Amino acid sequence: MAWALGVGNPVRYALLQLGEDVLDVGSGGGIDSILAARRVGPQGSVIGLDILEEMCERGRRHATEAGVNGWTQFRRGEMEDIPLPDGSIDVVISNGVMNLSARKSRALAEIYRVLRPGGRVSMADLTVEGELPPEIANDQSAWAG
Amino acid sequence: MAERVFAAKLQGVGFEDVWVGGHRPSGIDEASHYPLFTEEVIELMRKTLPPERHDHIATGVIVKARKPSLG
Repeated sequence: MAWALGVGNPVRYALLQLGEDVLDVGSGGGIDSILAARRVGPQGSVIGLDILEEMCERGRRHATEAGVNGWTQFRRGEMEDIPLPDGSIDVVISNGVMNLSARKSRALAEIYRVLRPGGRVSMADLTVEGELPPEIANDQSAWAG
Repeated sequence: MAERVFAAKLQGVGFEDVWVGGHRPSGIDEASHYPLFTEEVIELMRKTLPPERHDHIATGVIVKARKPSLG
């Protein structure tokens, strides 16, 4: 698949402004990074972070095809150890990624760390409210948070 | 992860103005494309959940929050 699948539209809800610096956690094939790059323009910047170098390569290729590669980059890294300095990002987006972390609080703490004061996060993900049979709900530790 | 757990984890690391919205039902077919679920879990869902539940086994949400400003 050329594009990693998401579960919602965090870019729409992020209300991005021209010139903002954006981090896309778990950027996959880069679609949300590209959408964000179009919103912030070349005065801003977008960093797509993905654990797989293959997805970073796809993101770079797609960003080039979309004409936003001048201010969009993709880096390999883990959301629990984001390779960015403190307070360097205005907005963090993610799409269907947080549930995949076995250390969600650590990942959220990292997102908090890299945000500037007043910075914001917009994340799309799946939630459940304990209505699945135990054999399903207990199969993935991620469900338990 | 439950919605309330998601919000609590955000608040736990220091975020404020946590907002959850954009609720959208997600069924087994959609979930089968999501890397969280193995093929075995998807098959288990199809076998154990009543058919009327197959179109809504989870809920897609948007979660927003803000890091406090200085001062």
